[in-house]
Amino acid sequence: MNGRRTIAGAIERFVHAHAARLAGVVTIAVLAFLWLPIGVLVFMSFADGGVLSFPPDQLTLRWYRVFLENEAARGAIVTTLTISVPSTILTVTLATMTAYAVDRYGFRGRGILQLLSTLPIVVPLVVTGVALVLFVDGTLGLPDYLSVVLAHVIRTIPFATLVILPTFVRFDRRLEEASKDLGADELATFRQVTLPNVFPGVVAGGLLAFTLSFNEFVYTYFVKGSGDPTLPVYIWNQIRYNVTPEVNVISVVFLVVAVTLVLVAVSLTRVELLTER
Amino acid sequence: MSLLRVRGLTKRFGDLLAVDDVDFDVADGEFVSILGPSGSGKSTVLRMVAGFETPTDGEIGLNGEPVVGTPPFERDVNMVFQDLALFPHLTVAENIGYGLKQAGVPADERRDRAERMLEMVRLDGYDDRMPDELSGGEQQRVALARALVNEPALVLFDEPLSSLDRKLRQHMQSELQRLQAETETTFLYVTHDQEVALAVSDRLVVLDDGAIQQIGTVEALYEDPQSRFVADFIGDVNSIPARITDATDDTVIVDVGSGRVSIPRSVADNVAIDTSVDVCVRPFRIRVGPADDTGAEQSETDEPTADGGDRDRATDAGIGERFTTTGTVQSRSYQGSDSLYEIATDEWGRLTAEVRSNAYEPGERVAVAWDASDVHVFARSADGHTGSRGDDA
Amino acid sequence: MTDRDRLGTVSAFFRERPRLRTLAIAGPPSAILVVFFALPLVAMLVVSFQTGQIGGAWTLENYLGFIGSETYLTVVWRTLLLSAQVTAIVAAIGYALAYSIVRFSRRTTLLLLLVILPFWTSYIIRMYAWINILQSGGVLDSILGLVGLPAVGLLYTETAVRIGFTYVWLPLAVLPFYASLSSLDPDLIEASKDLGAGPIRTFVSVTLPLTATGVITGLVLVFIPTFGSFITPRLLGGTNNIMIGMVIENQFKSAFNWPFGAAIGMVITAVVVVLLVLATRFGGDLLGGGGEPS
Repeated sequence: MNGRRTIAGAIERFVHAHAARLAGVVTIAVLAFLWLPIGVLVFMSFADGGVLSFPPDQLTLRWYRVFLENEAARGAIVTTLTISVPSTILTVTLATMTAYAVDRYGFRGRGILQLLSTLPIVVPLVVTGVALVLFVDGTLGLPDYLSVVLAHVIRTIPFATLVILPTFVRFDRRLEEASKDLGADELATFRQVTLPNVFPGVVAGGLLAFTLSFNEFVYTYFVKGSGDPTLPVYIWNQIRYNVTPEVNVISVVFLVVAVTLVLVAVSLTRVELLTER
Repeated sequence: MSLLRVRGLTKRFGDLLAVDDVDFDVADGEFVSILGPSGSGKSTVLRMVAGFETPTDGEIGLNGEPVVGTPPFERDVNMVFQDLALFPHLTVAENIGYGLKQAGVPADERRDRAERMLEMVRLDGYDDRMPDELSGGEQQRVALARALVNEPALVLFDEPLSSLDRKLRQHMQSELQRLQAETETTFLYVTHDQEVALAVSDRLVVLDDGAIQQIGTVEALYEDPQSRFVADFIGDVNSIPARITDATDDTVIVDVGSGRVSIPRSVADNVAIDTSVDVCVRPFRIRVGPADDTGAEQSETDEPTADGGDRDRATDAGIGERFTTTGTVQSRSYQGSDSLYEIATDEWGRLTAEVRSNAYEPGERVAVAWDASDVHVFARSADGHTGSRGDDA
Repeated sequence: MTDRDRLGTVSAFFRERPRLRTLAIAGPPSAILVVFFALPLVAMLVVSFQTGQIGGAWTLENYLGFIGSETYLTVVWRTLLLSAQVTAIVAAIGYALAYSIVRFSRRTTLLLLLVILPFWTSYIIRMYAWINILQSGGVLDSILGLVGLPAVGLLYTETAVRIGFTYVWLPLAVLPFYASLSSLDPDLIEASKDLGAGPIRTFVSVTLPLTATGVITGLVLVFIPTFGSFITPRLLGGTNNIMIGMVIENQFKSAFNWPFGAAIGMVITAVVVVLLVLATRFGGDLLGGGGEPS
């Protein structure tokens, strides 16, 4: 409490006086670290000379044209969509059911359900991917398409649940009580009162699940034998064996799609995503 | 020399002037309260004394040393926060010993001093409890102990009692006074609640809009308010618009619409002829009596009057030494020893009167009167906002 | 019967059978999770005891061969080491960033968004960006050349792998740090300073203990995926930086010795589980006691 004339005291005083400035520096530096590589990708997608020459000699839209005309790439996008859309619908439905059950009912398996629905985030992707191949492909022998869709469901359910569950928790049950008091039964109440109110959270969960599924690589890589690759697998192959600037273009397209979807999801839940204050 | 010396303290947040040129002193051993409504800047003043805000201008001296620019962890000042801010991960004893630990006091001595402090706040044996196990009042006392144990030159309080219920708050008020006397520490207390401030303080600093309105003892502020704001903030006050028509050395004549009243100079100094003023009177000074059927007012008072003569407003052209009118009782609030009456008067709008009697019913016609010597007169400024009596600004 | 009536009887049907109702709602997700997540892991366990392919003879060879092999154990050890380093770096940077945002920023939501957005782009793409930057003659080398410094050709080095991991996990780690820090009552920090502790002492005595849970969560969220990763080391580390995840991938895609791959997978899972348990049980105490409300 008395003025300390020590080195420790001097350091403390320095930090106290400059804390805000230090924070600003950290923030800017880290954000730059996170976004500069993306900037490079975007920039290089307009590069004429191909990937290896930086800075590029000329800027061009050539690679965008190539991408749009590339049948394999377009096919990959279609494949991805045929997997991601159904899996997202399934994920959202299941996540909503999970959230409802966990929030409303006490039942013996409740803790296990909660655990299971968040565990896929924790278990290393390679382990789960391998396990899925062994069981779903090898043992159950389900067709490829179904295996991949289910793999995407498992991959995205934790995130969808993490977003949808708080929406249910925060929902004021008294609205439901009022609805029943006015004569609507459980199903009608759910349809007319509960669902519209939790809908933004559900949609946000769906958008996040779709984004994840669209970008999903590891499970797909293991589970999908041959046949048309999804876009991430396609990119992987391109990078491993045959690098063209076209990959930059695909990356940019991906980015724009992902960013847009996430922004929409965020605005729907007023940014209470995974970080509840 | 005073313990705390504040001169010209000013704080601007962008365009907002939160604290405007504040001067005051706190003497060693005093219990001073800064009183003001929300947004008056009182918390900002406190935070500047503690070191959590830097003044835009002005000086703060603690024991003769200027402290502006010294970080809070190097000031000999401790604060009791509004939400108490007890460390949830430390025991009661560790909370109390925290400041001692920072000062390098060894563990045994910390323990002893913490124990003694717990005794003093009547929480013996609470050493190993966690803050979330305590009641609101107990947490208050721990927060207090945590500040006092360091024997700082000055203890600051940021409205710590506002979350307590009335009985507990009154109990804590007397505890605060007791502890202050026992430890001989200087307290600077910030609140918007005049009840608390009046109960515990030696002196009050009244703030509004970032500026000092008046500084003085509780009696001085109550008996002799310098502005309508202070009159209204400390205790309650009724207010009637009027006009000064005449002034002599001893008296001032006001025109209250229905007649003129002569007021002693002592309660109406520094108001000029032909200006608009507010005539203010405290509710307990108002007398209430039954209205006459004939409409002539009658005074109910048995008290001896100043000049003993006929003081009715019977002489039309004359100037009285009382304010009188009639009105209808709007509501009655039984307070126990007194009753509060809201009366809609015929001439001066609604007045609140505090009387011993519970006799008058809502809807009843009554006569209302008070003496001219019991009022305070304040000038009105041009924009209608009532200024202070001694107009220097 | 109108639709309304039909739905009404459905409601009534379930109202009288609460257990059936719970089953109808909690059942499907549970079933899917069990059949397509839990059972596959069990299947992996079973296969790990078989020889050569699914349905082969029972054996312990897979495990014995793995644990007995110095090569493989070295790979596991190096993976552990690298993961620990990456976790430490990401935790330090991520916590510093979260702290700066919580305590000092005014446009918090915008900043958080900017931090999180990169996470929602494809992992592969983020790796590809760094290939662009780190390769010989790539962006980094070109810039170094411009200022007169020698090229470093960081691609296919361990440093490149570390950079890649840090880049990928930083946004994820920031989330639990942010959640923890933002629920910390700022008055506590002021109270600590008021009682004589400077900002650094306050951080160690108040902030860190009270955000311990968030820190542990962040550490776990980074360490586990890093440990099992194969994409980043393959793309950025080339053949010199083998991590255990790559070995598994190799068994499934090239060597086709699925039981062996399964055994390695089980070993990894065991390591992860042990670390998780240790972290949740003892981590809080290490950081000074997690007295965090909820």
